[in-house]
Amino acid sequence: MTAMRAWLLDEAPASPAQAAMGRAYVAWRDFAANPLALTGLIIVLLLVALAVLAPLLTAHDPYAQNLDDRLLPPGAAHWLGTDQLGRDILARILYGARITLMIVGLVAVIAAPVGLVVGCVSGYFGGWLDVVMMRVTDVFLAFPRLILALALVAALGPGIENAVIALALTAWPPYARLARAEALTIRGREFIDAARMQGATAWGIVFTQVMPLCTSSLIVRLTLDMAGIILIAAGLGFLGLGAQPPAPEWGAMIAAGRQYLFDQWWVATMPGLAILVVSLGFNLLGDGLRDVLDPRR
Amino acid sequence: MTAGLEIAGLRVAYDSIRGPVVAVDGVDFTVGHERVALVGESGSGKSTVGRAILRLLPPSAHIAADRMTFDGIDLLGCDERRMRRVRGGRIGMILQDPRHALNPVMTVGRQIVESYRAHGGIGGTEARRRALDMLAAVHIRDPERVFAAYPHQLSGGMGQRAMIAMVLAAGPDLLIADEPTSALDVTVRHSVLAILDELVIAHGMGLLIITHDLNLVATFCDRALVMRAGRIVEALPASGLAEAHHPYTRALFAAAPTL
Amino acid sequence: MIRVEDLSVAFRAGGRVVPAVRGVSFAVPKGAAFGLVGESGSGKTTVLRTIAGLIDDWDGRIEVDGVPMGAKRDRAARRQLQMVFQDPYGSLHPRHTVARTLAAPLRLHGVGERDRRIDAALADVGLDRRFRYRYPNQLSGGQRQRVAIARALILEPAIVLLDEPTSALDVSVQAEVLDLLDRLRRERALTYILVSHDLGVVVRLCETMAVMRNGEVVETATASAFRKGAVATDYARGLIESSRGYRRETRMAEVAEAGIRTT
Repeated sequence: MTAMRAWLLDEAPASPAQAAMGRAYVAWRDFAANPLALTGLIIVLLLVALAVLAPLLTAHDPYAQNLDDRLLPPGAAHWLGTDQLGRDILARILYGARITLMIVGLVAVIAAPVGLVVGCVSGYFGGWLDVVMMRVTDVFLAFPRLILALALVAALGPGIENAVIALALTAWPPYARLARAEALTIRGREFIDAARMQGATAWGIVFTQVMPLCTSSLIVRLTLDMAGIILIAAGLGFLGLGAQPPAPEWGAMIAAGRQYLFDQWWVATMPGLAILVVSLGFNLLGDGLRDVLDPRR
Repeated sequence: MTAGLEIAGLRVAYDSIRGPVVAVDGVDFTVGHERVALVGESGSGKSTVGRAILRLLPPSAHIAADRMTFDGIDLLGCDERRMRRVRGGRIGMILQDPRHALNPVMTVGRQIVESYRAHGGIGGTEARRRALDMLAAVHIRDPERVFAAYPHQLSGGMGQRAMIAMVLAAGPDLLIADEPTSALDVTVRHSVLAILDELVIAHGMGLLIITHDLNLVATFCDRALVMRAGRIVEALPASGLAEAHHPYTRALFAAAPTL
Repeated sequence: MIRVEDLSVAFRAGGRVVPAVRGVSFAVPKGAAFGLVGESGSGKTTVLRTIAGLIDDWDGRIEVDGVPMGAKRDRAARRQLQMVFQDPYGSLHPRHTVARTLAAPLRLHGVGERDRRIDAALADVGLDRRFRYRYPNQLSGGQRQRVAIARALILEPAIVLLDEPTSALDVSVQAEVLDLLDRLRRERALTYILVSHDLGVVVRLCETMAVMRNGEVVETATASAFRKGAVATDYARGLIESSRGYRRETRMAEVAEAGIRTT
């Protein structure tokens, strides 16, 4: 353990890999020193683990209806109770985590890179390219996110894929703005001048010098936005425009449990708690990452 | 006559991921009505000493001293409320980078006026007149314009002088100046030094200059304290720097490129 | 080696055109070191950046080895001119290791044997192999500036432009870096153009120097003339006087004469 530590903190790394890992280790130590951030990370990791291991964690089928057992309160047979069709709520929440993760993952994979490229190019090149790209961004930003997503889903038809597309399309503009602001400050730094003097092309500079420096603040922003994305996805589900029944999507589950809220509170409350805890987890994680990845350090 | 600032056995350590790092390791000195220079290279702990006197260090720093007093006020023991009155009022501090010291959303003039009013107990019109005088005194050619300007509208040298004016407006008895002139052009540098000089000579202010510029120390200051690795390695009259005994002081003096 | 004729540069600020450099001319023979001295806003750094090809909009003529340099330059032209920047904290990419920083120019110009060249370049500036995979935040200011010098020299340029290369460094480190620059110039017959506000630094490194003020060259003289104070203009004399240190008598007389109130 101490040998490992010494290797990681070596002042004279012997390979690029050791250097990169040493750097990551120092960042990790800062991160781990923050209990809230660590809590966030654990929640998010737990979510991934629960989604992956769902079949092992519950014997119930999330789709199996059993009308004899409908609306059972939490108990030994069904830890979190059953819903109006007698389906096990715990199983549905566990399998629902897969849907939530998929939405979050796809939105992140689509929106963040688009925003990064648009923002970096816009910020570095400036001029008319910047004006055009930023006006387009403004158009997207001008719409409230949920309304725009609703309109898109309404046009494309309800369903989980269309919900993801709608969310991604509405999510990228803030990243473009953020990346552009970063690129603008990076553009004036002397290492960019040095690269220009070596004959690097403008595109080469954008991709090898500017983008890596923009990513950290983008990752932080993305993590903090995850909670919002989960909520909007749940909102779409709640309105019947996201995942379609019988898929165990958390928002749709709340919608279904709404009418039993007073007598069978657990039907809507359990998925609601799941959303709350996961959103909180992403927020805590994002805050912790912000402290560690601050580009000004 | 009181000795002004008296420091004995000052130690400062910072927490870091590799354990505590000692930045200042037992420093003793006094500053009376004179120009004292704390000389050293980066990492010598000289700036930490300056900030420790006013307790302006980040929370990761631990300050300890056998004695740290100014005119009998225990700078280490007194509460934060008392310390706030000492800062600015009794002991002023000029930093190298004016951008951190000036409030970006207040005009320069208003900041100087506030400083007069807070520490001088005078009315608005009088404070304004004095603020303009002070700006002229730090060789700002167009005091009215600078008075109405926001800090970002000023060049580095101009901002530096505006900050000096603000600190001096409070009429401090001791001024701690951390690299006060290294952001200034040579021709302006000496004008600013002349103002500080006059305050020491005519008004009995104490001046602690923290710098790496030995040429400045040799020609401007009365005494020099040479710091290295958190300790004062040599204390000597500033005019005697060229004939210093300590090998480190000699090396430092030899390294400075001169005409 | 390098000839600058009637160079003028203007910046557009808002709607106004602000001249930064007005009709500057000088020539530096091969292997010589030429200094540009001046206070902030004198235009000295703009001259250097224009020669470097970092400013697109200028008038006049810049020739390297008799070949005029346009605003747009190809890689071969860029390779001849390299620069060392003022801020050792801003001139290295914070996420790139030393080795990556040094490999980038080699890769751009398709130079082989990169590993060997990187080691050689580090050795030339007094750093050993242990520094290869460090990040800039693991280096001191002086070490960073050495890496920046290694980066400038790794393409074997004929001319090195130095923009206040030591002003952010401690005196003892400054002396080391100046010695290093001096040695490298002699070993490789490099041509230097040095910009600095510090007369002491310029005199230490250069044979000839020009004093700039408000975008114009006020006076050009040899370093030894500056050392002796044998200069023609009052402005240059004032600079020399100021660099020699504080003069209490003259300054206090000025204060008294101006009748300045400080309380």
